[in-house]
Amino acid sequence: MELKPRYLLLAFGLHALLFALLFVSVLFQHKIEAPAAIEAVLIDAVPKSAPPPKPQPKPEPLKPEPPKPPPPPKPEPKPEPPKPDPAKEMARFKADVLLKLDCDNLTQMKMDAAMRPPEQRKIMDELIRDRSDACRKKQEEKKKQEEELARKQEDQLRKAEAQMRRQQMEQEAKQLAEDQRKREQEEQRRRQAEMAAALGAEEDARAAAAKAARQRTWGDKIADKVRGNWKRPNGSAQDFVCLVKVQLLPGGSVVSAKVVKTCGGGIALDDSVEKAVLKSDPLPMPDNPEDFDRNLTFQFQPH
Amino acid sequence: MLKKTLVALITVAAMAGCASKGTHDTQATMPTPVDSNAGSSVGDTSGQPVQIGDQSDAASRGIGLFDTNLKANVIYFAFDSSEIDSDGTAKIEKLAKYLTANPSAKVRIEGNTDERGTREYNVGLGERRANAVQSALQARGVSAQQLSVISYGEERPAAAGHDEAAWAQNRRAVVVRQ
Amino acid sequence: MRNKLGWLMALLLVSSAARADLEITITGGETAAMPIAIVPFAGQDPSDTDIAKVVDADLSRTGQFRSMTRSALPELPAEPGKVTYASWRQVGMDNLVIGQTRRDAAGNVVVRFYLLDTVRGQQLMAYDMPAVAPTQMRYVAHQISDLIYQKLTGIPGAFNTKIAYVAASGLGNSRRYQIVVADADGDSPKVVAVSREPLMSPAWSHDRKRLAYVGFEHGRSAVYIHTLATGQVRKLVSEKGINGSPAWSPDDRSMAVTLSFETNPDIYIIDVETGARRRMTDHYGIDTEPSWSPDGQSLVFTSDRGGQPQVYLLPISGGDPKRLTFVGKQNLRASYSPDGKSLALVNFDDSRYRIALLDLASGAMKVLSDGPLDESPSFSPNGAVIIYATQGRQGAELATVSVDGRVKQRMRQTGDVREPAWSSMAR
Repeated sequence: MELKPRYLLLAFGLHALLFALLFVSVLFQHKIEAPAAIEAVLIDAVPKSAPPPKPQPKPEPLKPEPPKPPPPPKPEPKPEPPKPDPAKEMARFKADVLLKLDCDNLTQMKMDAAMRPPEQRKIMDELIRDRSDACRKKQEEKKKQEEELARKQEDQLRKAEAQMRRQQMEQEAKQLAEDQRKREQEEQRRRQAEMAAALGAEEDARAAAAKAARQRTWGDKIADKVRGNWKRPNGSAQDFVCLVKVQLLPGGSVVSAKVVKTCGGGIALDDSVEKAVLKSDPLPMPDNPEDFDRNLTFQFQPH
Repeated sequence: MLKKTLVALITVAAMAGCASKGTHDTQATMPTPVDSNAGSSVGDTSGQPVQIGDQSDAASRGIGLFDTNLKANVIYFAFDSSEIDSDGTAKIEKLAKYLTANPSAKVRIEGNTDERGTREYNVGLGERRANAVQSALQARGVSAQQLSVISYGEERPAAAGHDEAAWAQNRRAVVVRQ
Repeated sequence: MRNKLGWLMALLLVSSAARADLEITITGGETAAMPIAIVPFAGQDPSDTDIAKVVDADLSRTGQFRSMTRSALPELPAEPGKVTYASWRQVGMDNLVIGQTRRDAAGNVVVRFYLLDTVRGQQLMAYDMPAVAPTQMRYVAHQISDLIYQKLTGIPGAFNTKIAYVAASGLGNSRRYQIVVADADGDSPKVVAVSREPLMSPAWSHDRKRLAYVGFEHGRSAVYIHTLATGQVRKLVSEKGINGSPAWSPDDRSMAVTLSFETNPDIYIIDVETGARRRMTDHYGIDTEPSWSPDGQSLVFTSDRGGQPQVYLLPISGGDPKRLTFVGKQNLRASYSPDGKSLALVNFDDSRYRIALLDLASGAMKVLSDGPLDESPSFSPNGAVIIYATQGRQGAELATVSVDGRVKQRMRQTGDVREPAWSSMAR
């Protein structure tokens, strides 16, 4: 399968965008507090306990029946000897046709009429036409009634559906509200825990800062003493920084003082900084024994 | 071989380690000889100083024109200059007159400077002054055979002191009868 | 919320930093001479050279050490076992020198000394010096000073070296000139040459056995070579005109000099053995005061070819001299530092002649002395100080200045002394 690079790029871009949006949303979750209703819309969760109702099968329209083959033509009655009264004859014929004629055999009757002598045919056609109109009207009437019925049924169905859906939505909303409440409670708990933790850390940090401050005071005391004992050699460098590692005994006695970064001005200058510490033995102790540190680093600089 | 070298190195290192520990080592060690002929033989000198140069006085042998006390044979110069001024020219005229009249007379022109500047550079500067006087005399008919030149730089000041008065006395060329 | 978090982070950082080594910054301190106490050596006769006194004077003269008057010494130990370190710490003496002398069977003196670090309670050094005749104890003392100086500063000491200088006295007919050789501390001065006429420009051979200098004789100048041990003097060159500014090549085989017999003062190199000459410069200006680079590859010299005297560089192989100095109205008489990286010279700013140091790499000039009539700078062989001549209240005298210009010392000399030349250290 070949993928066009631009589609790949597009895919990557979309992923990146998605990720960025996720990230942004995480970043801002403390800031933006969306109204519950909107949140509920955003979240796509549907409670498992209430499966969506399947739509009711709609009533199928009835299939038109295949047209019945026309009944075999009835044997023709032998022509009777002419009747003495043709009017009477016609009236009887008329009544007969009317009898036979119904809405379902109009076409057969039309074919029958076509084979009749003109007088009869004329009568029949008239009768068929009349009956056809009546039938059509009747048919229309019936269809109308049927449609009305169907409409009514559909209406009822729709109403039922709407009812169900409303109930469903109400339940969903309830569920969502519940979830939201739970989430908020959870968030509340989390925040409270976080605040508590933060307050604890702050306390620790404050204690550490206080210790550091006290240690600085201690360091200043030490620096004052060591500075007084620092005699740089005449003519030595004017610009340097050197580091001396100092180890103390618990009482403040100097165990060792070693240059770990040379002053760079010859052995006498390096020796002067070590001696400044050694001559300050024992170093002053901190007011609070907890602030004592066995390992100190001294930075010596002329200015 | 490598192994031996390593062993040797480690031994040396160990020994160095011990040696550097000498905190409680009170045993003195012999110094590496600083100088095979250290001490007295460094720049050792013979008993008596040697005598350099003439035993008799070199200066002030002239009389009259060449009596340095009368300054008729002393031409003065400005700081860092070898130009002869009118006063110097007048003196040179007299000296030239005498020397052309006495072709057997020989003189040495001694260039001098004040104490400012370095000594050897001043020797060069003194020679420039002496040469200026020599040229001036030759321009007035004095034979080159009668003239020689030397520079003492700042080594023979006529006046002591470290001010312009003394310096002016010392920036000079002296024409000495030989 | 976020601000709070930031603040929290800062606090956490502070507390985590506090968990590392506590850092203490010490700014300032004073520069001071290193304290050193030198206890009189045990076993010395009253007539002997006081070794402790010589060492004390050597170290103090550098300006880098501060000693303690004898009456203030808390104790007089002669060996480390007798030292109470605490009492020396109490009087602020970080370093302690103790020692003893004894006579061996031949009547020679054996000196043992110890250098102790009282702050650390450690022995830094201990030596038995070679036996010497009692008259040579002074030199043993200088050797001890060298050893101590090197141990504490990392720089070889130059106490067991000599200086030569010119002394003059009197005016007019009674004026006398002398070449004097003395210990580097000015002690034991010995006149090696005298003259009624000027003596100038003493220069040590690098083997320290000979001096070259300039004298005048019969109205002529000459460059002499004086072998110190025998007193033998020979004329290296005595042409018409100037014969001056001798400078030994690093191998002592050649001498750079100034001669003017051909036209005017120019630089020449003379083979000390054969007398063969090579003219190095040819210019109508004054070219003089040559000095060899330690590698023997080039000369620096003074020339006024540009109008005023300035210092120029000339390769021994020849070529055009290159001007080196541009700061000040005049720069003269340059001499190379032992490491060849800088020149000591005389700088004239239109009012004062002062000693200055020219860094050859950067061209930076640093004035070291105050003037107004300073001249003849010469490096100590360890390159740490420069000796020069200056005008004191009682006439010309010698002074030293550390190469950083911070420590100046005047040497007490009698008479009008100038043109100091510092010998090399033994090779």
